[in-house]
Amino acid sequence: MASHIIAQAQAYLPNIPLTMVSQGAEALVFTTTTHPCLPVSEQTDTTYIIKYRPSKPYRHPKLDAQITKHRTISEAKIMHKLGQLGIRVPRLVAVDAPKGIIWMHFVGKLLANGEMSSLKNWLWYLERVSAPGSATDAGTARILTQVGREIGRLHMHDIVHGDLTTSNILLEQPHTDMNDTDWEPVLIDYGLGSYSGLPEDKAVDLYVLERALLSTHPVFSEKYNAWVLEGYALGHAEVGGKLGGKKCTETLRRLDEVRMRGRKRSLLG
Amino acid sequence: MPNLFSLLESENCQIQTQLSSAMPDLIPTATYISPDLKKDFHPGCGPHSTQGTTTGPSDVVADKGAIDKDRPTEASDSTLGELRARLTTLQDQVNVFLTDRMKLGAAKEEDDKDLERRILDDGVDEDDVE
Amino acid sequence: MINLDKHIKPSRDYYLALGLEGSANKLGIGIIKHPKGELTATNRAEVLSNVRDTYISPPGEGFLPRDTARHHRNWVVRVLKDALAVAGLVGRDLDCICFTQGPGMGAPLQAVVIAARTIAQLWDVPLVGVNHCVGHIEMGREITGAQNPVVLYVSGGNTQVIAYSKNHYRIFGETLDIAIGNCLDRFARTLKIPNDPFPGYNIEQMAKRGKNFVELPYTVKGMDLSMSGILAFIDSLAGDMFAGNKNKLLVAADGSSVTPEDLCFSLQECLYAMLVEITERAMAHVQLQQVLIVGGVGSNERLQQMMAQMVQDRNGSVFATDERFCIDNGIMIAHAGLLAYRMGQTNELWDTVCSQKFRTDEVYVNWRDD
Repeated sequence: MASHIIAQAQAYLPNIPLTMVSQGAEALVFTTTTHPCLPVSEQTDTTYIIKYRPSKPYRHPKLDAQITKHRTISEAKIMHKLGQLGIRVPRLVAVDAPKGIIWMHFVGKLLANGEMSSLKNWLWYLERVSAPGSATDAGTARILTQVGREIGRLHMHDIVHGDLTTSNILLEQPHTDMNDTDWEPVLIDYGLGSYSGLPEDKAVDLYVLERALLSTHPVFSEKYNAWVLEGYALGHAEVGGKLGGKKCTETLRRLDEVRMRGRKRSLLG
Repeated sequence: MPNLFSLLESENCQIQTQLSSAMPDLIPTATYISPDLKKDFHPGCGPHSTQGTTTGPSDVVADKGAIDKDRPTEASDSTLGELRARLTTLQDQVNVFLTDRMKLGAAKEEDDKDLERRILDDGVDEDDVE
Repeated sequence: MINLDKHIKPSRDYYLALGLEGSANKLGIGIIKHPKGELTATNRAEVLSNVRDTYISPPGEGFLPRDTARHHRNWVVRVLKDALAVAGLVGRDLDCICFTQGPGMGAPLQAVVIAARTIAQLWDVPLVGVNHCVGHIEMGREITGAQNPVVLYVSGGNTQVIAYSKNHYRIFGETLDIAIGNCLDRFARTLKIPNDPFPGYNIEQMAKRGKNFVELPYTVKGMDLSMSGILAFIDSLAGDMFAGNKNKLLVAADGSSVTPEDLCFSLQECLYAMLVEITERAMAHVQLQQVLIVGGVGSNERLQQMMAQMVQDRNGSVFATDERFCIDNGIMIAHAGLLAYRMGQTNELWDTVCSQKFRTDEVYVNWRDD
């Protein structure tokens, strides 16, 4: 792990104890129990996530500053909006856009093998470690349908995620009575998210996830994707009723086109 | 020499080439097969050369006036050299034939479309139909 | 552990393969030698010859399929003779003849496969069809020693982020519209930059003299990216620049006018940042530490430098090959084909039809079992 990046984060966050959780593609994720605004006397032992987008040395400084700021702001805005709409999302605590820092409440937990409960790790765990058949049982079907439902609800509010992969979907157990295989998905990482009502943008969102499923979970990807699309229709119906159904059909038709484009795209020089 | 290459294949036609050996000469021939037509090609007695009439650079490139660095070499005096020259003649024949067929096909398709339009869509705007 | 020697010729402890590549404007023929047993750092493949001839189109023009195929057709025998002479071999010494079965331009692929079929029958040697992208990946792994990298494949016709999983090279990200090399070539045509030695090289040289960064659209979509919008945007900027139209984007921060060099610089900075970003995203997603850059655009120094900076922050390593191997060549086809041949994969004559859209993930990579 690159220590100078961690040192930079610590310099931006003096006196905040940071525990490193992961180094994603564009951000470091830390946990802390310190709330940024509350006085010492009112601090609790609640865990918060601090997401830090470091400067990327390979990018031109102008481009770098613009991307860091833009993504941090848009992620925070979208998370806030989704929270208001009642869509499951980590609760926002604080933002420092120019420095690329977002504070939020912690979601997810650790799996039996010590990995974070992302959908990717969960599916890998089922595919590799767990009992045969569990990767395609009713429990998995329910989770993936729920994933589709969340995306459907997002799209009904004209928000596209921009980077849907199984790494960017966390699983959590919001109720204490949920058993080990019972999870609710939470979509995270809205840095590439945007507002758009265009069927094209929504279709690309679904296409990106479809391709991520195919490459990351090749054995059962078709099943997984079918469940996601089932849930996607549900999400539309819930939010938008009949109009939702129409929008869903529109996007799925567009998805066919995007797929065709992918396959038929000219490979000529 | 057992040689059979299918050079061109589409849904309803193909061109097969054969090589027959009447020692010491190698004679390439080709056959065009489609549902409505079968045609044989034979290079004939020549003279043959590797500089074909249809195998030069495209007009876009030729018009730029640069030296053609990609010309084929002249045919040598050997059996294989003569085969190369005969093949070029055969290729010219096939190219001319296929180009004519294509033009004919395009003209016919235009006719068909016209007929279709007149019979099926007469006076009806596409947007009105649903 | 895979047995790679089930098909070795009796009385030999090595293999020889010839590869023919002609999927775009390069005609390449190479001969490779594999020693018996698994290829390792001490038991390496040996390049016996690697000959290439490039079709160069007139300035301002792309290469047309017909002229490219004509170039390959009329040069293939000369290049083949060269490759054999350099290696000091005759055709019958070979274990197999490998050819690019796709993806690529139809007519050039056709021209070269006919040569492959002919010599295979002349010398009575089996044919092996090779996926062009897999050729790049396997050659890159062999030359650099990268074991299990995330592969960034960037060329005139392709832009893909690839990683191996379960006997296939899986595509994690790719362009949703045009390829990176195509984007650069087309902008070179807009600027009327010569095609010799290749347009991307000339853009790179101009970019080195550029100073002002002009902001362009930045269009990353997860691990995918889109470039046609950027091309349209910068093409219209160039149009305004040449026409002398007023455009505030064409005035730099210090008040000077933006030059064609600045545009080349900005285009490279923007496109390569996108490539590095999606590569990093794939690395984080599949948890790998190595990056291998292959394909013609992979020889770009700025791209290699940016990738190295990214990888350093992840404590990983980056691997790239020089232009002998990253620009299309016959040796990579020979190498990947020979790996397949050693696993018993050969193509009967009827099964040698080329495909313009042969996807990387279709190939069954049974010479790897990790």
